[in-house]
Amino acid sequence: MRPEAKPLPVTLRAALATLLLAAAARAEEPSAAAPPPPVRALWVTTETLYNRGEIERLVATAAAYDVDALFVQVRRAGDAYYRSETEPRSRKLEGQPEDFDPLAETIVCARLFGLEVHAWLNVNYLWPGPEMPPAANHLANRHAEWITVGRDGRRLTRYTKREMAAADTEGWYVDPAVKGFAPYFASVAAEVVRKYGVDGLHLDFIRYPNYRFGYGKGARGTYLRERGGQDPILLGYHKLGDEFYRPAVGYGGLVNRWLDLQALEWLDWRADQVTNVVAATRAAVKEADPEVQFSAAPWANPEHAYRYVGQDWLGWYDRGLVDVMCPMTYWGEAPKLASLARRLARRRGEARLYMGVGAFNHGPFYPAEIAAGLAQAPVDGVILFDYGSCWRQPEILPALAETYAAPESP
Amino acid sequence: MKNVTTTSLLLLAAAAALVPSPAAGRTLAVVGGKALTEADVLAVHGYLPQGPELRETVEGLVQREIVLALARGKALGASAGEIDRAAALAVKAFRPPFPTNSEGYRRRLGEEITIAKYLDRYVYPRVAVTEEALRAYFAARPGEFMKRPPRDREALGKLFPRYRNEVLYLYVKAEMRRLLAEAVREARPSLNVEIYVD
Repeated sequence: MRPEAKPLPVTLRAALATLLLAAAARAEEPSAAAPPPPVRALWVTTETLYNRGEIERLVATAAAYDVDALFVQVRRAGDAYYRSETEPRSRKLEGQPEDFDPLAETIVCARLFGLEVHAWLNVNYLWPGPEMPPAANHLANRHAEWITVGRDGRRLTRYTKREMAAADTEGWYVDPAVKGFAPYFASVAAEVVRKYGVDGLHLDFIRYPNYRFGYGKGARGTYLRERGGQDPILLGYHKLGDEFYRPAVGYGGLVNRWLDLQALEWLDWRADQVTNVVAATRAAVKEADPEVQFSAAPWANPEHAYRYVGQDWLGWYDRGLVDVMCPMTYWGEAPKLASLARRLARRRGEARLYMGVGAFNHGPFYPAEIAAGLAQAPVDGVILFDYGSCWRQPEILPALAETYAAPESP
Repeated sequence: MKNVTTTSLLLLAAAAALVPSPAAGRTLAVVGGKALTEADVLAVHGYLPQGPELRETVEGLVQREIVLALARGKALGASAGEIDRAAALAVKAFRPPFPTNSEGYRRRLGEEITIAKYLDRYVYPRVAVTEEALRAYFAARPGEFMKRPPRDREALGKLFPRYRNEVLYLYVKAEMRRLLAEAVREARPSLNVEIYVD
């Protein structure tokens, strides 16, 4: 089932007319070299999907400033902003007409302007807690045992809000090592691709909350069967030292190194669990539509992502698991991002790289500066987090558009 | 700047470890006929400490050599495949600032795998983990686990489950250090240890 075209709303008709005129005018101009990176994309959070008016405004704004692709968050906390056979409709859509389908609406509007729409799904993040979700068919109610366990032996469902904040987690996460989860999530993602004909399927929160979680009995048992060694509960409080490359000396040093070597194995196994979810989801999504672009938003620093949350995203590149990588490089300056891009260029093969740029945590001209600074870097696009920030700081998108329109320096 | 300096020192230390004396510097101790030099200390710290810090480091290096000798005495070692794997996993986790295929680095990693096997097979199994031992460890030092521990022993006991796995971690480490020290003390006389640092 693909979304049906509907009559154009007034705001979109006006925007379309303006854009057609602008495009015609541009066709007359001498061709100015387009400054790289070529793709401009926006991450769009669910706040923009609560009603039709917001969606129309999103698309009109994006089109007006030559945005190419929208990455639209349609599964945020185990809930759906689309028609799903398994996930409950988001409570935030209460009061909207029953037939209101935010994803379908976005696609219909975006198609008019040639914008790509990528369905953005949060993967392991499930629910803010600490109360259970009200929808009986929410995954947390169907499979509370899938929710990850802390190193103190307690499942996240037993944490208070304060304890979750102290443990640096936004809420409940499904443990990626749970055997049933990878096929479950893969089917959720494939359903979106089959029903909506999206241009891309985008994964976010594809990870552990952090190193403090993932200590359920089942996960530990599987680890021991597959890798041997000691029960990882012993490693729960062990911090892998940055001094790993120096010789370990003294009794404390030798015992710590014994734990370090086991921790390296444990980290690798954890990362494998996350990678398994990525691989299963890619397979299901590509089966549903081989042309769909499969992408992910990992933490910016590959080693930190690997150690802290189990994202081996360089390994995802190696295995050809993603078509587009969108690392969340929100805090870097252009030279640092360009340096990362050059490093990734040696690793990523045919996969594309959209550099994630923070629109929420800098001044309004920062995204444009970053885009300009990446002109010579091996980057295929920039993706801004997020559209809402662009709305709050109206200079962002015009400045970015201006950067792209500037002729290449001689 | 600090990172650059640290990296440079580590590179120097790694290079020093590969070069035979006199670049190895002064001999600071001998264990079973093997000389421990200033280059070994440099590899640990990235600089050459003086005074008590130097003495402590040399003692640490001596302990390491003795444990290594104990492990080899049990016919333990590390295969090339095991070294390759540990090196690859360390690269994933850390992205080291130097080539990980250098002979010196691989030799040291092999030694640490060998030591880890000894700890795994001959030390860890001797750690007696019982709930009573863990509770006693917790009750003796509650301040290590919480800012304001209750004075009432019963209330403290009720809090134990929350901290149990953290207690386990610290308890096992402490016990292993103690058992390792015992093993080193027993083996030391047979290895003709000489230390030339005050």
